[in-house]
Amino acid sequence: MKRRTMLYSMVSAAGGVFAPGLLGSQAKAQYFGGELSEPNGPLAAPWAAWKAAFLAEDGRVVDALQQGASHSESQGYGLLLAALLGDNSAFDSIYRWTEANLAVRSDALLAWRWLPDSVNRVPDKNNASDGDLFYAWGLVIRGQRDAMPQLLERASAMARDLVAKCVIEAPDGSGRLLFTPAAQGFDRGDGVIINPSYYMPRALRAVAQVTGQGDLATCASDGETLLAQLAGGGLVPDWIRVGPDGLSTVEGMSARNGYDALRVALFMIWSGNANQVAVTSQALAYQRAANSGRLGQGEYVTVFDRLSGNVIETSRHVGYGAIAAYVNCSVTTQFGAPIPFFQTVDQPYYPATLHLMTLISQIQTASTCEPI
Amino acid sequence: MTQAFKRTTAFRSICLACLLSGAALSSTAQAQQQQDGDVPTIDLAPVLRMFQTEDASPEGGDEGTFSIPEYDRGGDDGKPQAVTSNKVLLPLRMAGMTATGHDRVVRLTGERAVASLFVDLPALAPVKSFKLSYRISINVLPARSQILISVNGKTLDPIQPTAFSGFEDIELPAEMLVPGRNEINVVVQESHRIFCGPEATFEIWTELDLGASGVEYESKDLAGDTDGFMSALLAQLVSQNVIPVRADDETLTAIMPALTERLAGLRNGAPVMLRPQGIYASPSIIPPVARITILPDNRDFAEIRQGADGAQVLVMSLTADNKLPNLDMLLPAPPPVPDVGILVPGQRTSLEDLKFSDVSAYNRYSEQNANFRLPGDWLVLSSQNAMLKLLYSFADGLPENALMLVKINGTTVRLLPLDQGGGSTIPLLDIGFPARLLHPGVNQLTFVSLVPGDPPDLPCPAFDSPLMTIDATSTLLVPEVPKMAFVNVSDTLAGITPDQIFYRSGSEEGESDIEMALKTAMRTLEGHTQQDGASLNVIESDSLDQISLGGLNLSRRELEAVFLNRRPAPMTQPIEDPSTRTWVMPAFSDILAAVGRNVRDLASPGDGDLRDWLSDRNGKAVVTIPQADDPLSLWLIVRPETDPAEIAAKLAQARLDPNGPSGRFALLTNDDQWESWHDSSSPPGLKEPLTLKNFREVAGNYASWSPLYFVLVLFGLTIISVCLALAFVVTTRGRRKR
Repeated sequence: MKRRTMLYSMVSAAGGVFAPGLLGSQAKAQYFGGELSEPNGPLAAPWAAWKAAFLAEDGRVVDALQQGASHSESQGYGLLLAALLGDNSAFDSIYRWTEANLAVRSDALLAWRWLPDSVNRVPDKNNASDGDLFYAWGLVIRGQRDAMPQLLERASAMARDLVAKCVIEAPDGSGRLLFTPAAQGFDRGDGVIINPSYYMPRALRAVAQVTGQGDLATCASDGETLLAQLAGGGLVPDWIRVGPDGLSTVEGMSARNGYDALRVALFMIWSGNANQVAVTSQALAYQRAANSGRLGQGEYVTVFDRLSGNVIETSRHVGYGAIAAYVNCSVTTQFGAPIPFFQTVDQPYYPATLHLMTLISQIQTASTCEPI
Repeated sequence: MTQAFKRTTAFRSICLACLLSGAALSSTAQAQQQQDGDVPTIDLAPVLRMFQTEDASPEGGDEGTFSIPEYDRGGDDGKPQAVTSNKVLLPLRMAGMTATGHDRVVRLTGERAVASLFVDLPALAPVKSFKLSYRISINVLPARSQILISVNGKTLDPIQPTAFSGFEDIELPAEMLVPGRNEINVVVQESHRIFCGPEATFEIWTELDLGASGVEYESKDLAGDTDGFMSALLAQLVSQNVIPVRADDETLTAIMPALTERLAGLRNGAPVMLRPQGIYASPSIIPPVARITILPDNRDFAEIRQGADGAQVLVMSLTADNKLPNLDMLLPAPPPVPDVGILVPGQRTSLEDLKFSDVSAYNRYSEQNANFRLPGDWLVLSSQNAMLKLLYSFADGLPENALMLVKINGTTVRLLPLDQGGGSTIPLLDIGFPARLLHPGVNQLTFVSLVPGDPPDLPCPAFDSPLMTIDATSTLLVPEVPKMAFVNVSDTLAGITPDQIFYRSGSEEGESDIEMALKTAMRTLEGHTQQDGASLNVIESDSLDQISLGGLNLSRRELEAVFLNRRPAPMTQPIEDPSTRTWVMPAFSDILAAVGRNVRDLASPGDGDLRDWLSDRNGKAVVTIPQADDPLSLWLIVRPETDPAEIAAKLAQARLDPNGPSGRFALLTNDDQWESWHDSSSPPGLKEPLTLKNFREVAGNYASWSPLYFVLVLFGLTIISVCLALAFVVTTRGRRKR
């Protein structure tokens, strides 16, 4: 602990690595980021389990629930985890595979999905901006840490094209910039469809700072405002339309607080915004569900009704429980959180990855919420 | 770039709004898409292709099909999760006995035997079941046998035992249980199928599996309070034998010793093993019922909470000076281990005061033991007497040859008939016996009664009253003697406290399992104070370079051989060399050798050379004092693959056992018996000033220790006296002549 405190002080004094302007917990987070990347760091075992379960030898991150597909999100998540956890070998393999298989667009962005059993494995050239963002974030972290300019150049190109294709001004006249989920298909004339969980302010700012694409940082700030606005009317939905007349649900797309939206609170805490209303409202919903007595042991809420907060769907995958425990802890003064042990047995790619991200976020930004 | 985008979206937005509603019409393309991936997507390609603009897709048709990235995240819950039983068992415990692990089965032998059990229950938690697991010997006749159980003083209907083939559960009424301490008394009354008599007594028994007996709860019903957590800890120890402690390495290293001491009282002296676990470790295969989590950053708090896996968790953080937070309310410090009765030399002490409670004998063969402790510096080697003033009675009409043996440390000092004069009060009986049968430390007074069957080839008649009863007001007196002692492990061992236990591995590893086990098992004995400078140094037999064996006149290899599972049989007969055979008077040389051995034994008493003593022995642990001039420095040497918990439990129990380690070198054999080597090559040390008052007893002890040396000393004194007398006579004779 003394060693940790001393190094923390040194790093704080040095002004951080990725974002010198960060304060408090975020500066502390950067030290822990360093600790995470040590060979026997605290998450070495969970990371090894994650790799064994989801990372193929060739660097493809397999999402079994999507018919064994890989996508820019899984590749981006994998690349980020490898970068944060200092696994250069895994990073290199993920990078190689992604560049060879998903970097098939004419711009610097990634095609969003790769289907192993399809004749045309990338039948759809649209991108997914969250996958691109996490991928670029991973490139930035590794590129800076190991002084690899080619990675930073690749990240810069992606950031440039993200701004060009996925950042638009809100049609409500507010002047805010929106981060659209993809280059194609979300600007529908009468409004822009947004997935709130694609906003990861910490990643947007980190990529913006390194690549000089300031619109991404603006997106981060505007996104936080948008999320607060959304949370003021209930839980944050999976999808929302921003139109000239304000916010509205999108017909045919989930307006629930579901599998997408459950990332919002995690990403906000990870970005140092634990007091954000999107986080507190989500925490309140989790607490109500836990106190209702209707959840069995090992049963975790995955889908809430956005307005009533009623539980619509639950899961036994512990990764969702990790998020809930972490979110609850981050809004209370209690030390320690009942975050489940990380496991990949009986837990597919998505909850397992979020579980690992939760642990990273806890170490980096919420040191009082250690798993109990 | 954003502005350019804005300019082009005006017209496109209008058209898109109109046409998106018709997107569903693109069913053909969508079907193809889903065939590829079975993922719900909305194919916007036809629409988008119609309205593609340069800034939306600068590369034109190269991009091909577009769809909205969406994922199907739910729906995998049909896959079975690892289902674990949530039932936890709070075991029945037996006062004064560990009854855990390998020793968790208690055997009740004979026509009538009693077990007093208890279980501490948390308040409010609803009981799932309450059971006693038992089995009986094949020789038991069920029709004439019964198990009588009382719960908190209320007796249940008798149960006829039938569990011949294996352990079976007796379901007990849970409504008789109360929060807190519950006392369960089990009396087994058994009859042999065929015979009656002392031998038949050994053939009838009932075994209770205390690890499978007790009160069952749903783990979620255990409240997150002190009682609930203590119950969960006990259940955890029963089900998994270890308590996980979740902390980072640095914290674990700092706090493990203090934590083990705090947890030491959980199992009646049996070791409590802790299993270190990282904060971000992988989950256990079997979810724990309870664990301890130590959070970093020294926040100085402790509370009980529930973990995500359902475990009751004692969450704490250390104080600023890296000490345990105040746990007195949550995990009280364990009390000292009750000692056996203390016999003060020179004071007549009743057996009741020596904690003798097994006063009645119901069996055809029974042993009633009174264990008591004498001071470590009490030593009688001479012919002084001790006195037992015995009050006893026995049933009228016992068969011929019924008798009772009174034994001191296994040596019979009196045989008393029980076949005459029964049923009436017997006058106080003085039984004197040599005090040298007693030794410093724990001794044992035993009453063995043997009552033949009448007839022996039929089952014993039913009975309710005892065959023989010892009156606990009987007294025992041993003489007060000068304080003397040999080098002896038992006294030092009894006074060792957990903080005086050190693992000497030679490496810088953290606390070892054996050290942890010892520290939890060897709690301070009641009435014993810590001896300054005492230590119990623990090593494994493959690290003998850590110990100096010179004082034992033993080589490292010879000691290592003790821990081998098999060793060559010792040679008892010397090999005769024909070339040196003497044909003249072989018998004479044998006689000469025998005389030499006797003289050597007289000159050098004790168990002989340690190497010879060890030559036909092996075992799994050794307790020794390697340096006679440092008697407070004990060393425990264990065989590496031995179960640390087992060794620790044996050593802890040995402190209260009259057959525990004594002398200077004690070996725990593979049969779990302690065998001790007494080094009497050095005279006993006098621990008080030599005075005229104590001279006689001291001289007596020295004379008894080594008669030959004593005779030689006396002979020398005699010679000196004679010489002085002669000198006096010679020097004074002339004067008288003059």
